[in-house]
Amino acid sequence: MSVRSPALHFALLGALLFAASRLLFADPDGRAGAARQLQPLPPLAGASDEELLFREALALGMHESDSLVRRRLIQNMRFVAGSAAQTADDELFREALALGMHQTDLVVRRRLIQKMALLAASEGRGREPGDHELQAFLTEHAARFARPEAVRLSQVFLSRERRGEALADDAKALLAALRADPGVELSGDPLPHPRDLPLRTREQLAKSFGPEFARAVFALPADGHGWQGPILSSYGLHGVRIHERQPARPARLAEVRGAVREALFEARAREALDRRLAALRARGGEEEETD
Amino acid sequence: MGTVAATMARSGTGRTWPGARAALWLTLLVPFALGTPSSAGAGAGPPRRYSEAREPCDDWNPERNVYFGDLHVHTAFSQDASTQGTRNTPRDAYRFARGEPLGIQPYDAAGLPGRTLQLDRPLDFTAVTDHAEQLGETTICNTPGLTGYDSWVCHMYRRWPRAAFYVMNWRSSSGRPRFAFCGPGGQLCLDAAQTPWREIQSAAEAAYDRTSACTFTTFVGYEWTGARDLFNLHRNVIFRNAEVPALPISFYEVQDGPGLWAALRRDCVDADGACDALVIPHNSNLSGGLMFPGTRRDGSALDADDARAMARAEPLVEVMQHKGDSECDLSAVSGPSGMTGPDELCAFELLPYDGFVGQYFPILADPPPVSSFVRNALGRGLGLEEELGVNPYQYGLVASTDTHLGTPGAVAEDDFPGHGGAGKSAREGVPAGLPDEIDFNPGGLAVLWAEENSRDALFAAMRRREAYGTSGPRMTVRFFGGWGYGAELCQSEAFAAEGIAGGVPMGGVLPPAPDGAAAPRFAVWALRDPGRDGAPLQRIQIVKGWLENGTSREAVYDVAGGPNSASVDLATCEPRGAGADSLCAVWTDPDFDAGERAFYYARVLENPTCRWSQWVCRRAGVDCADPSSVGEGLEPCCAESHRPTVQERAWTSPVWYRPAP
Repeated sequence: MSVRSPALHFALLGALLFAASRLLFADPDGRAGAARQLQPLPPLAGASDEELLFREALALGMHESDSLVRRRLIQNMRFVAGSAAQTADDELFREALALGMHQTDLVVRRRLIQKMALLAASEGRGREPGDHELQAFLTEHAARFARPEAVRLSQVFLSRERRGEALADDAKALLAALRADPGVELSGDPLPHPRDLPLRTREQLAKSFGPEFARAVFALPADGHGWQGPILSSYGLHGVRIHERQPARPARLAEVRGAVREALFEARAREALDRRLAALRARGGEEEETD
Repeated sequence: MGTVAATMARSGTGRTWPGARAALWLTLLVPFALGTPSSAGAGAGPPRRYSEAREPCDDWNPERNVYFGDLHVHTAFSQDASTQGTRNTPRDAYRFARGEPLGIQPYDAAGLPGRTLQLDRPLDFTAVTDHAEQLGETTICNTPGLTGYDSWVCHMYRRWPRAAFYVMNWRSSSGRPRFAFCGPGGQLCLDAAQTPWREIQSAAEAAYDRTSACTFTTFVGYEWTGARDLFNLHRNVIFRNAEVPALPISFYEVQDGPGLWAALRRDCVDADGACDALVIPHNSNLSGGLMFPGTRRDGSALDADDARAMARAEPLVEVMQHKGDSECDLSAVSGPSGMTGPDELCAFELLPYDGFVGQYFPILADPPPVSSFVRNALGRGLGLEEELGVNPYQYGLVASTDTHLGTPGAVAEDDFPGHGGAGKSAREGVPAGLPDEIDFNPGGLAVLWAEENSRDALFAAMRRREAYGTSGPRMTVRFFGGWGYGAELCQSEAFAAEGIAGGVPMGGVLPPAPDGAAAPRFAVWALRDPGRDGAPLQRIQIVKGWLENGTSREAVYDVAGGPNSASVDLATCEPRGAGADSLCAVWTDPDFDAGERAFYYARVLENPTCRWSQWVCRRAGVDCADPSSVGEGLEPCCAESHRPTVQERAWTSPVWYRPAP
């Protein structure tokens, strides 16, 4: 019988259902079918944030109203119930809850934790911020939104692999010619990057030519408007002429409004979640004392 | 599709652009314009129309820049990631992509991460693509990629997968579309609003650089996690801008590709507003041949409308990622004279099984059929085009990571922490020995040629397939097809301008042959990765597929560089032997037949380097001659099947040839 034959699959299916029902419903005395005791939740002291959120979700009855939790539990029940597949969804769902399956199923747990965290956070989202509030947030976090330094340059390239040992001398000659007549049309070796580059940040230059090149270009004297170099890249030597240099500067609100707004919401959400967790922890402490 | 949110002209310094390039601009502008370009305010530079408000980019280049990114990223919002201990959120993933360090599991009791990762250089763009099926009930055990397989259901599944499959599908069908109703008291819609979907959008917004610096682009996206008969049909959905459907359309709503495309058309592309989306299938290597069936789901023949819908929705395919390479297998390449035998270079990150089941139950799985591979699908696309007049499999190629740690672009072989997901879990501690399954790998990158780093420009590049994939390194590859390129093009600083002027870039269809042109010519240029991940280049190949009397044929040509003596010192992972910084060729198809449909793509190979597993084995001091040196979890280091080196590579999107009607 081939391992892909349906007959084998159905035979396996039978074995699976049998094993599954034994495994799931076996109690310590080995009486299949008996409902399990609800597992007590672990003690609260030292509970992780996730544990707190999970308990709060259960306390709020989220597991009863969440459509995905419901679907998951019903599917679990159908999976084990097998031959009892005629049972109505509502009944299977009740049975799953009675079995405490929602407390032990990892997927349900993850869902409820995530949902609780998002709920707590979204409560902190608050009203739409106005320009004033956005500007204040931007000012407070100026470094995060700062616009990076950038240069616009032209480069003439001499290839390491084409020129071999003549590279340094060729570069010297090229630069001498360029300096003698900055307007001269000298072609270097081909490179798939343009000779006249648009405004580039240090990071962008490093991506195209390697980090050494980017470092060297940004270290060039600010007042050097002629051809400079040779500057080493990952591929060879370059003559470089800087046309424009934009210093790093704080961003204007108009440029970064969307990102600032999201960052502000994120900060509010984080605070709200922290407040909620602190409250849960405090309340949990009181309850433990009362116990 | 509709409104234009903003029309912006280049703010500028009175710079003028050479008139000769004006015509070029017009053709370049159209792709990401939603309407006709406005002349208002267009004085100093090209007017650019965007589908949402943003500043025009300073990095605008009509000949296009190359951008590296990751279009397949999971975070804690994917159940199979969170149950593996991943705590990073979409926001964290974007921070990581932008270059910030990020903690990853295992976490200690105080919540501090045991490991930290950082990219040595940021990505240019990223899409977080968490599973839309947040709980993934139906796919729970169809795809270990999807949900907590620590759950007892999945334990069952691992022991009796095929049997479990029947059970899982033996479920009552609710029949109700999840998103079309709100239930009593609106409870379900309230539910929906609490899902991570809104957070995913916020995270994308927060990280998208809308300033003129254009340092980083995000896309709102998700993974549609479909399967059939336990075989993977997974697809990523990428949205063009912030305007997206109220909720992702998941496997619950639609169970196959055509259903997904139709739903996306209804809820996004054809809806009022600026919503636009495209779909990228992945892991066809795990699809048991079902990813590119060439028929409808019920087995009936495709018609031209089907093919059109397919081609429109899915311009790209993910050719390689964490769970293996999907380019080609070792079937014989029956090519031109002297070119028979297997394409040996297909022996690269191939998984030995045809579906997820094979990871756990090799006995239940077969090796992947040739129809699972992208190259084969490209070939069958030619046949379908002949029949239907439309090619449903006109795919451009990208790669990505499929990280489940929230770490986009973490592709370094020498620093691979495992990617979680279907791979090894580090929730309770770093696994002993190898950090991931031996057959898996760090994945690759998606690369786009676009005028600027904005969503609209990158999305347009995806649409027109001006895209390629790499297995990790950031090599720059340009590929043009035309009829008149001269051999001197490789010596020209104007390679790009002449390439554009004389033909089409990767992803395009060759224009009709001019009189007297005997065969198409291809100009291809590859530049090695300038960073630490890069090794010298070994060769450029052109892979040709064509239709000969209705039969799909393939050939592989070395067009620049070639086999060399480069190797790796396995004891140190130091590379040996020479390679190239740059390779370039203008190649004419020597076996061209004007009556045969064909596709051509370039494959660029680096010299061999140490595979991630060899880095781990070497650092652990494994000496296969000394069994006592083979610690726990390091057994695969000495397995016969272990490949200690890889040849990292890039695959360009094809250029297609269609005979004149």
